[in-house]
Amino acid sequence: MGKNRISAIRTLRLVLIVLSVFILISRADSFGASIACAPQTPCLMHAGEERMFSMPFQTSPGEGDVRVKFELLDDAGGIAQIVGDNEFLVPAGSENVNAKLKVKIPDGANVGSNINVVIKFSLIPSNNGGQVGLSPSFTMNFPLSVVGEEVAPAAPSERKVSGAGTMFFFAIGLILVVLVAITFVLIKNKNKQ
Amino acid sequence: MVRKITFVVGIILVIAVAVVILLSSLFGIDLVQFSPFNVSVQVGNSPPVINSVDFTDVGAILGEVRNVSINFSAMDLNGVGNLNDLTARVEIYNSSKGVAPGMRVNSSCSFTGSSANTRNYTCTIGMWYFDPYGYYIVNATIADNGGLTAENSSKLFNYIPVPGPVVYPNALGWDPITVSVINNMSNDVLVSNNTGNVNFTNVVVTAYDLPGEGSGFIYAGNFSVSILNGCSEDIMANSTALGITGAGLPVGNLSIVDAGQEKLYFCIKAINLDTPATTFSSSNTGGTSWGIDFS
Repeated sequence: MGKNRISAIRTLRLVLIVLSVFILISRADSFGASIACAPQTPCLMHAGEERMFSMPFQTSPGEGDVRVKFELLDDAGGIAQIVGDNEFLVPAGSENVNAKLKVKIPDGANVGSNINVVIKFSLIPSNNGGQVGLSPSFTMNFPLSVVGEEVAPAAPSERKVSGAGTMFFFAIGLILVVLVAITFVLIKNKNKQ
Repeated sequence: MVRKITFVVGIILVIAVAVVILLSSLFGIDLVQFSPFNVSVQVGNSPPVINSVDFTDVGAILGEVRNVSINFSAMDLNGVGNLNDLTARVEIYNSSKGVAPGMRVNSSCSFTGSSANTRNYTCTIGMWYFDPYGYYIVNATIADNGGLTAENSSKLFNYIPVPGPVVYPNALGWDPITVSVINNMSNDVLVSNNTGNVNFTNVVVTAYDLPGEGSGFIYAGNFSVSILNGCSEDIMANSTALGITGAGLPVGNLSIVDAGQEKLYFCIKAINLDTPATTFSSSNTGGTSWGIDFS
């Protein structure tokens, strides 16, 4: 009887799995980041150009400080690299903490080609206690379009009246008039004589 | 005699002028510069003109409205007194993004300075977090007191992408489970809100085996996740990114029911019979928080 009771308790212990019973705190640590290049608005760069992109973080309204991890999932053949920290403490309400990504388009990149870098931002979870903690993240394509070297737009062409050319013909005309006048006078004088 | 002298002097002068002109012409010296010039003849009221529109591209503020300052200058040849300040107006729109003309508009712009014929205006437009990122047309208009109007739509505003998915709660929990009982739903539905201006078409969950306090695991493969209420659909695997069938997180106005939102239902379908009775948690030794990624 006693053995059976112990066995029953064991069985009971085995069957009873205690997971987290806690109703979870409804706090939602969250964040965002301004990303200059995205699928509908790819960034335009020319071959050989190097540019630093800053991506300022935000926290969601009413949220506290968050810790964020920045990763480069695809550096597009080594053209992109994270500069500085890849983990950040973002104070609530701040827009002054930036992730930095440096991109260098290869010198021989073809105009019209598209290069895609892939980046990821993850929330570093705080200690959630005896629960199944979640780490939200978002992954973004960071597309770059290779364009030709920027050419300074030509100044609107001003129609210039060519003073020199006009004057040349005017002078020739004047000389011809004088020659005609002299000839006329000479003929007139000859007739008088 | 006088006539002859006058004639000769005249001929010499004409020849001198001709030679000077000829030489200057041959050596490329402009004696007279002909420049284009504008002649405006003002008859009655002239329509105003909006010469410049300036602003800075910015992104969304998560869950809120971003005020965008737009400056423009309007010129009226009849003087700035002829401009009707009350008609100064700016709007931002892109119908293909669901933001039609008239939706994001400011009709009460303030003027910030003026000269004789030009007046500067500043208008503030509120762009919402649920206005999708991308290029928007900026349309500035003003009328004069005679009812003539000026319009400028030459500039595009780039509403910079700001992804901002928010999930709550930040952890999942279950009431005590008996091993013989199957299909145990989590205490809470995982709700994801899109507080930014970027659409997400994929939601991926990466689960990890859940270590017991001291010993044992509840394996990731015992869990399922779905956008449907129930213990069906996608079964997870340890340290494996699993795309959730049908899940996405579109941009949306969160004050509208179900807009900009996704719900995920987690379930423990069953537990191995040899699982020890203890507390299991990702925060136990050897545990890892589960990832939920939006892309």
